[in-house]
Amino acid sequence: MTPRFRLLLLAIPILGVIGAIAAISAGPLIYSLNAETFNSPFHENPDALKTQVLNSTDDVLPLMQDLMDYSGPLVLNIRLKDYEQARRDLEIFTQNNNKFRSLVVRLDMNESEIAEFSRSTARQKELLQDLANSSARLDALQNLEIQYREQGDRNGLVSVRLEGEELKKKIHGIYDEYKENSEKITTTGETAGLNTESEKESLQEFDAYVREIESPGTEVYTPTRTTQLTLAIRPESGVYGDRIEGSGQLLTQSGLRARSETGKPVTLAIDTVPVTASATDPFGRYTLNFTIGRLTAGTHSLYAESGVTRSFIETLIIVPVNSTTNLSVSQPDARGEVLCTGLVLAGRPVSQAPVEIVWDKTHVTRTMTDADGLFSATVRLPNGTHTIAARFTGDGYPIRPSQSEPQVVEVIIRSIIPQIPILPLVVAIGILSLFAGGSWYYLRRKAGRPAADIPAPESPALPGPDIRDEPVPEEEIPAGPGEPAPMEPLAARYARILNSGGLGAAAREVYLHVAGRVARRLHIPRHTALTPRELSRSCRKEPFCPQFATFVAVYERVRYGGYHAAPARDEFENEMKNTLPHLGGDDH
Amino acid sequence: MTTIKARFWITALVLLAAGLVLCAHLTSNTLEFSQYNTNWNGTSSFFASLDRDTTVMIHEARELAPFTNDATLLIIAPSRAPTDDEILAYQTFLDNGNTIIIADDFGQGASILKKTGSAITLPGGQLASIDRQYANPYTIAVYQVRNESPVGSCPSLLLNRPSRVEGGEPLMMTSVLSWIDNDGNRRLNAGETMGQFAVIASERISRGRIVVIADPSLFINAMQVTEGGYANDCLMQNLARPGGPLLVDQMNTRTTDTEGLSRILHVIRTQFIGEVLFFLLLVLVALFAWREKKL
Repeated sequence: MTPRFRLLLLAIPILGVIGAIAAISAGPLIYSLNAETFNSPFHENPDALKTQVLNSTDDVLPLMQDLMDYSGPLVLNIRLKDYEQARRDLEIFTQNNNKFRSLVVRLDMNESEIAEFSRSTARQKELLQDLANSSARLDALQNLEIQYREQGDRNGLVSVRLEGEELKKKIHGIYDEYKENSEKITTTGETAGLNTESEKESLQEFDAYVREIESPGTEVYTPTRTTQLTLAIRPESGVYGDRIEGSGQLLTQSGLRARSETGKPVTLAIDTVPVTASATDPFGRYTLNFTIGRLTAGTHSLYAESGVTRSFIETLIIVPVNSTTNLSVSQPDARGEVLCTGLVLAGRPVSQAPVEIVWDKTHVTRTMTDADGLFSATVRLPNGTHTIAARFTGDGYPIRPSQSEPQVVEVIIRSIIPQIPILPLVVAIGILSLFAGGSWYYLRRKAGRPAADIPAPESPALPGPDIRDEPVPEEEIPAGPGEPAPMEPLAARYARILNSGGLGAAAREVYLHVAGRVARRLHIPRHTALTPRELSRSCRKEPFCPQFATFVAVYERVRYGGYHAAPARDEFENEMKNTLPHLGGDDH
Repeated sequence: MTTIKARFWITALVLLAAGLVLCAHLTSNTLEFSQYNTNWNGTSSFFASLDRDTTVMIHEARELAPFTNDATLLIIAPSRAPTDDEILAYQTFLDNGNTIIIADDFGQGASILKKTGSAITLPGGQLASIDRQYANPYTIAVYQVRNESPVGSCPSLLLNRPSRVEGGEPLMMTSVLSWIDNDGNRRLNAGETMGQFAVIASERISRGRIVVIADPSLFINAMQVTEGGYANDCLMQNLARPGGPLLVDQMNTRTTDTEGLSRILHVIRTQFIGEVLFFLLLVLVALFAWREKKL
């Protein structure tokens, strides 16, 4: 194998590596999902799918079951007038319903039976909320009826009875709609193999409740009070953000006179949920204010409470208002991230409200508005054109939902170079270049030497000693008093160096001469890279080889064994004389 | 070791490593279902897992004739309509009391079933489900409904863009939250009804048995090990070691697809004359190297 060919073989992988580095240096993304997830008509690439959000029946079915399980106890609690428990159940029902709606969107099931189930449960939630409010109001009317009856107030009595009849009709209407929704829910639930008993029970409870309130002579609980707490609210209706004031007085029956209570805590509750508190003044009076925030539109019952004393229930009507959602989207940065900012208004800023940033209609990021109705969220988008919109769903607020105008964003992620540390890459390329350069220099230097290593027999010039290729360190060979003449015979050179540098140096001069001639005869390139013993072993099947081996053995004793005495010199000179004739040619 | 020897061995090792890498690169491909494809969509892992002592690659229909009673023929993703000879061989194979397992969804498996007289059909239609492992309705979970070979002891599987089977005894079925995605939009639309669908079914024919798996993607490398506790590896083991001899159809299957150098190696490996020529080539190279050394 020639040196040139060997160099070529080594150069191929080195150039291959450098070429590969050059090919990926512009965009050093060696593995790209975009490149690997080519469309296959047969299957999807699970490795690519692993990076996406997981949603499956693991999420859907338990939520569906939860929604159905809550409806039964909820109606029962309303029927038993345990509004506090009903409120808590309704809160959980609402949370589950919101989760389920989000899941339906993420699962792309907007036109499916599951979506129908979601819509039915959402409507059911509204109906149950209405039922709780109407039921509480009906209770309040029954209390008022007793009060008016005691006072002999016929006008008031007629008024509350009429309102009561209206409420009963309303509850009946709620029941009819609830029944329709419940049947849809039950059908879908049974299809999905879920337990629908609780849903069916809720319908039975609702039916029983409607029959109860519609039957004449319903017995009502008549509270007996020795302490009275009054409540008046102003205004009696409002919209989101309106301030409502509740005021009244706490009086205790003392004989035939009422005595005002001072410094007693009073709490105002809406739909059984305490919202604000205060204390009575020296005249037993109190004033409580609150702002309409996250309350659904419709009728709400309010009462004040101080210890075990509770006021009669007042009704607050919250009127729904329209909302607007604005969105502005920043230019995408190098990583595809955009900043979405906007404002939700419903006549006034909607504060602490959830906002959904929806991109490409399927991906949802959630954020909240601040006290000023402003929201912001960072969304990371992949390459391509995307539409982004912000929506305020209005869930739980007396505000109608709204959505911003969709914004179109073009994302071009040019390179992920900033994500990749440049320094290690540069260092790696530097080390590789250094290695390749060093290899190239070494091979080139060695490749350039053979012509000089093998002296032509007719050439009078001998190669100089190459101490770099010797396996053991050695001293400089003295050139003697004068440089050798170009045609100086070997014997003369030997004698001259023997005199000036000693036997070791002179023996080396002779060895180099002999080795050069052996290498030339055997076609061994760069023989100076071989030790004398290696060169001797390389010499086979030639007549001069045994003699050369003997010469090398003596040379090694002189050169490396330190035998410099006269017998050693005689032996060396003898072997020199015996060897040179075997090699033929000129002894220069 | 002397300097020159060390240099020689290092060079030789580098060249050998480079040669191996180059060879591995050139002999692989990206063809769907190819057993020479080591990427996600190839079947190299399944073929590598086959027991060489009990597996026979069937390259011609007549090679099926000697097998009686307990052999299993596996046909993965057939790529063309079967020839008359092949159908006759399949029927005889079944008559001899053997089992044929066909893994196909939208390909020519339906044609094989029809011509062999099976009552099982592959009516087509892309199956989708909410009951899935990834955010993709075509990677669906299916469940065992009958504890029979080859799905015995495999309670659930994860399929990848499967079709469905009709007829026969269902062995694995989807959950009720599945549908046929007729419009291919990956969504459950109005008009697409949810329900349970069979994806693996079996049937007795003559003295033999046919099993149809409506998803050949079960055999691709990316589906061998799945997340979520699905028993895909269990099914692959059952298929690779059916108890008797396993015959793998190499006549009509995408698993034999090759290209480039891989095709040449495939010919060398599968044809006797190719092996002889390759051996001769190696001898020539050795002789040349020996001549060099003598110099």
